[in-house]
Amino acid sequence: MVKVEILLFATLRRYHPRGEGEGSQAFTLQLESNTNLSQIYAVLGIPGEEVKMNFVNNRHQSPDYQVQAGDKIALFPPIAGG
Amino acid sequence: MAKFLRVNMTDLTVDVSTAPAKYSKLGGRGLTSNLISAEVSPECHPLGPNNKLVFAPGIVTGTAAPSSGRISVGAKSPLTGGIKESNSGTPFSQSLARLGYKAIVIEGQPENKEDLYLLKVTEDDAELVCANELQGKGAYETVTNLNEQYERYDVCCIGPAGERKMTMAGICFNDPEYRASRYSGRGGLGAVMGSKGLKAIVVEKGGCPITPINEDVFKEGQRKLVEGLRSHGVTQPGGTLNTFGTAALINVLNQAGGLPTRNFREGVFEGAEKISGEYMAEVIKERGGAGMTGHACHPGCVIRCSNVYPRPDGSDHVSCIEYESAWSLGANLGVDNLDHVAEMIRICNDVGIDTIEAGVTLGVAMEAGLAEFGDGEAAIELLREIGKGSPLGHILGNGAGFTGRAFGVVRVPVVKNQAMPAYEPRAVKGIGITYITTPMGADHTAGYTIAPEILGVGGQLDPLDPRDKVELSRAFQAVTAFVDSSGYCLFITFATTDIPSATEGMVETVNGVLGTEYTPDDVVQQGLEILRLERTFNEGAGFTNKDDRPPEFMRYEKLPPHNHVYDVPDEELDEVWDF
Repeated sequence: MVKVEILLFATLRRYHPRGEGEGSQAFTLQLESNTNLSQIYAVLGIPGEEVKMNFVNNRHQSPDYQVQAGDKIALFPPIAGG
Repeated sequence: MAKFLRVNMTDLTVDVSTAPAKYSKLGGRGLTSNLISAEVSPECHPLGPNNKLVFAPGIVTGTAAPSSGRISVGAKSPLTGGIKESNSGTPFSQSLARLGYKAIVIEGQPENKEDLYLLKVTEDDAELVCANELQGKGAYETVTNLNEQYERYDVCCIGPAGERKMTMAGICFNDPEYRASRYSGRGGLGAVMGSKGLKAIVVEKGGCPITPINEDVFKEGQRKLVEGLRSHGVTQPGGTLNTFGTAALINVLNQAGGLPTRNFREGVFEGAEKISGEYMAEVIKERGGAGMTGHACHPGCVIRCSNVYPRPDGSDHVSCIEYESAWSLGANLGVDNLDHVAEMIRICNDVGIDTIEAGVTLGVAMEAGLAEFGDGEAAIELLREIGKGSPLGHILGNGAGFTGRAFGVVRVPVVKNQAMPAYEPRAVKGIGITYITTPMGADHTAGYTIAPEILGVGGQLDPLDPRDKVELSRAFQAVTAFVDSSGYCLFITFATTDIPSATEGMVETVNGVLGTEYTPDDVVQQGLEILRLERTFNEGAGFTNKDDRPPEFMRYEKLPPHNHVYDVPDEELDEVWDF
């Protein structure tokens, strides 16, 4: 098992396990050691197509990235601006 | 026939005439840069009588094309010393286009430097009116006064910073509710307007919507583009731009380690959440009153990314808090209090200065010890000095480069003396190429490689990889030069980059208006021609490849958390211009 920290942003905050009101707060998940990011979406009930950007420890990762103990994971929907 | 309005500030005359045929297919940036190149000596003093200030709506501005209410303002920049185009979204642009004006060209300089004038523009005529009673007035009071005096006119003006010819002064336009909030902020164009003794322009509303030469082609293009904007996750109603505004990028860049923090010392700000679009949207909802997200800067915008931020009592504090301003006056100063940020944006809007240049200048001032990083109240007081016109205010009001020299600061994040925007080049290498090589001075909008490097729009590249980004930046710069000419908001490109039919739609609307048969490839070629023209102007002003370099500290200071320096080699930077 590995423990990771997760942050959700923008419209994904409605999938926060403690409810949208806690949306800005980080939370931890205990996962099997070979879990990838798309499996985390499923655990949280986030439809995969709603996630556009994954950052793990400040680096971009694709949905098939396998999480490591202590990873800080940030999930974003499509966002852009200027 | 499309008209030119030439205003001679030396003898205080105006002339309305048919637009020259050679400019008939141009608009926006393409027109301002062509006209400045043709009529302004690159060696002239930007604040002297030989510079010209050009206002040009885009090609499709004034039609029913979506999100197309942009106006370009061009001149030789007193901040960079090179050519400048800075654009803004405002009903002013639509009104000017619907009266049939392709451009307003402000020339010369009044003999009596004390007098101020207002230019009143109607369908067939224009007149210069004495505006000495507006001397020293902030942009809020100026817009409110002129809105009362000239009902059914849109307004453009400068604040005290422009009157004092400070190089961070911008040009202000009204939003649909007559807030002094929409800015052609970059490059000190407000100082050029001030140097001409022109305090304000009012343009009569009404006129006739532009009739496309080929209506069917236009309508088909409009349909495709609207469909694209309404279906893309970023630009659609209820999408992130509409719901959270551009400040939703604060958390993204923070997670990418590319949010410049405390004057570009770090790439992650611990207080990012408190200045983010998500937090701002929550505050707006909680406080209610005048607050709103999904605000449009001009009628007919599908995206509606602007906002009105309320005070705790619900009254209108400022419009708008966007990503660049939340960053420059927030993370860049170590300030995590959004009410302080809002107050600073309000001061910038009122004094008439660019929020990016202002924030970066305050960061340099904090580096110099004039205030502590994180002290929002001290930052507000420093900013007020600019409005007061105190000696310190005059130093700050002339920008980050000038302030750095005044106080002996080495860490000064500028290119061609213009302050860097909200993306750290050491963490996002491609945007650095744009900052460094664009003829505009450091400017993210000139070639927004952030789309594929960070946002996954138009592909997904590693932002930290310095390789193979030259062509990317050049291509983005070329397309942008065309979009800036079209009158469309640059944000349509989030949809057009991902959706080919939306690109076709954009090009078809332009073809419909002009009666041309451009293809998407032609658009890139046209953009390259504009870039070449701007580059040639800058060469005439004395710029060389040596000016296309990052600030030296970025070559040797590693930026946490990725601990990269800026490592795109000089030879590759030079290759941007190999076309």
